Amino acid sequence: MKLKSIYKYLVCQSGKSYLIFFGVILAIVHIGLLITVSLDSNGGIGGMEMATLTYMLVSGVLIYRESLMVSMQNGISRKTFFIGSILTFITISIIASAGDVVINLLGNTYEKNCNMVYDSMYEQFFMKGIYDENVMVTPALSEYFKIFLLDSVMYITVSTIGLAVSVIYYRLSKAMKIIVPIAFIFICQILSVVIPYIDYNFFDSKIMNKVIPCMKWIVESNYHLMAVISCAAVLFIFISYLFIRRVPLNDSKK
Amino acid sequence: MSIEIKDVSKDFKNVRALNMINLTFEENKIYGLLGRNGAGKSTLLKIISNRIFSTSGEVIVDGEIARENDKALGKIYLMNESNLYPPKMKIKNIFKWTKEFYPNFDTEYALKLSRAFNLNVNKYPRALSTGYTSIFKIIIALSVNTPYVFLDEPVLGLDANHRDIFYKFLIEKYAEKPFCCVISTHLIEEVSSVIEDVIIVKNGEIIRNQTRDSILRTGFTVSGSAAAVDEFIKGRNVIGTDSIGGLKTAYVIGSMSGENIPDGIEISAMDLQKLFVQLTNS
Repeated sequence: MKLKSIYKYLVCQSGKSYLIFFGVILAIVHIGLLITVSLDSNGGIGGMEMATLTYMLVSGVLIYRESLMVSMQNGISRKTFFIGSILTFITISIIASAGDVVINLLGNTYEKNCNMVYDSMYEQFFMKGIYDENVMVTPALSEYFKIFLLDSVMYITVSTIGLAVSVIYYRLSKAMKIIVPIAFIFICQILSVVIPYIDYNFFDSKIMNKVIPCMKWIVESNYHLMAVISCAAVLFIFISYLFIRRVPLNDSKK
Repeated sequence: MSIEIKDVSKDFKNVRALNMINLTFEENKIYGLLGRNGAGKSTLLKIISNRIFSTSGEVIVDGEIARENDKALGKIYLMNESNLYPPKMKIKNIFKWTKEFYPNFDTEYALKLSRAFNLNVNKYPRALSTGYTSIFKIIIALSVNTPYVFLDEPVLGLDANHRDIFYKFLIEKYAEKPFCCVISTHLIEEVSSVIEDVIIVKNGEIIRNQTRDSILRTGFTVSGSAAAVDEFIKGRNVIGTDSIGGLKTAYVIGSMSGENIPDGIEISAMDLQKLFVQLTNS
């Protein structure tokens, strides 16, 4: 009963802002397509999923604090609130993926009838390669289902990343709030610069020779990519739960 | 049907805010939870409502452990100084959502109270003054119809007129449909006519937990010239004194049954605020 109530509340709050976002993105895409067609520039647009990904990440970050307070005020446990949040992410991600399919259909309708190219992220990754020139690739109906699935999983994952970031930050002290991002950048630097340097100079690139095939495997099929990002989603859900389950209400941060 | 607090302690780093609290809040009673600033009243109420966790001990609501228990927490409503409601949601919509979370929330009654307090329900909580923020939360607390309602400083920022309306509605509501109401406040004189039981917290421990009438019967006030009062209180359990010029007032624990009152001495009943001040003076 309580789960239903908090789920309803969260979906209503998140759904409203998504509808506004979707309306704006749809208008931007439509105007972009109209400009491309009217200029007859043989150009193209695409990858609008990046905007939705950013939206879902921000929405994942923002959902936490205010909704946790509402839950606490209304006698809802942290566990129920957490489950409600995850269910909300799944619901909004499915709605957002459906919205992307609508945008893709619109873009591909223009592509079919006008001299321009519209590519979704899925088309760019899995239908013609990332770095190909503007080539018209119009997905079949079955491909739309794959787009829908991939987008759904991606959006759920970025939402859970947003939630995890928000949850971790909520519990950190002021000093740790500064230390954590610096440590994150430091680790990224080590992973992207120091390790390849050591690998190249001391291990004859043995590490990279193992990593690169793994990365190729991930992006060679949408199902591989979905499997990997699903695992990431599970990991972030687990991390978030660890932090939420004992979180005290910090109502001094008004 | 009751809320039982069993051996609850709470530490904030090296500070012990609550120390082995044992209490029972019975249904259909109005309690006054009194204590000086920092005594641990708000901490106790936050633990009961699962907003923070106790270091040890348990809160049991109608036989069920309250910690992370939706069923038990659904029977409790805590109104305190924090505004946990969405600042960008209209008050009328907050009423609507409260009804979703607390099915017994009486929207009609909430709107009636809003009219009585002159609260515009089309406003956002962030646009309200301190007094009206309290009023907005009081309205929800009185309309929520949960068996246990905790009011932590309910009259914060309210003018005398609004406080009067609040007490009137509280008594009216209680008379119509009794519930367990715990009022934590510093305005002891105002609340003393409303409460039935008094719980006094000092330095994280319960020092008094009894009915208002019995606590008032535990002592009396002796006034008169300093010399006469000093003579009279010799050998008695004096919990405090006040002196102005040559006059003295002493607060004495005990009864006066059958004793003669010497000339120049006036005996009066202890009022709750005076007793509280004397009991909690460190």
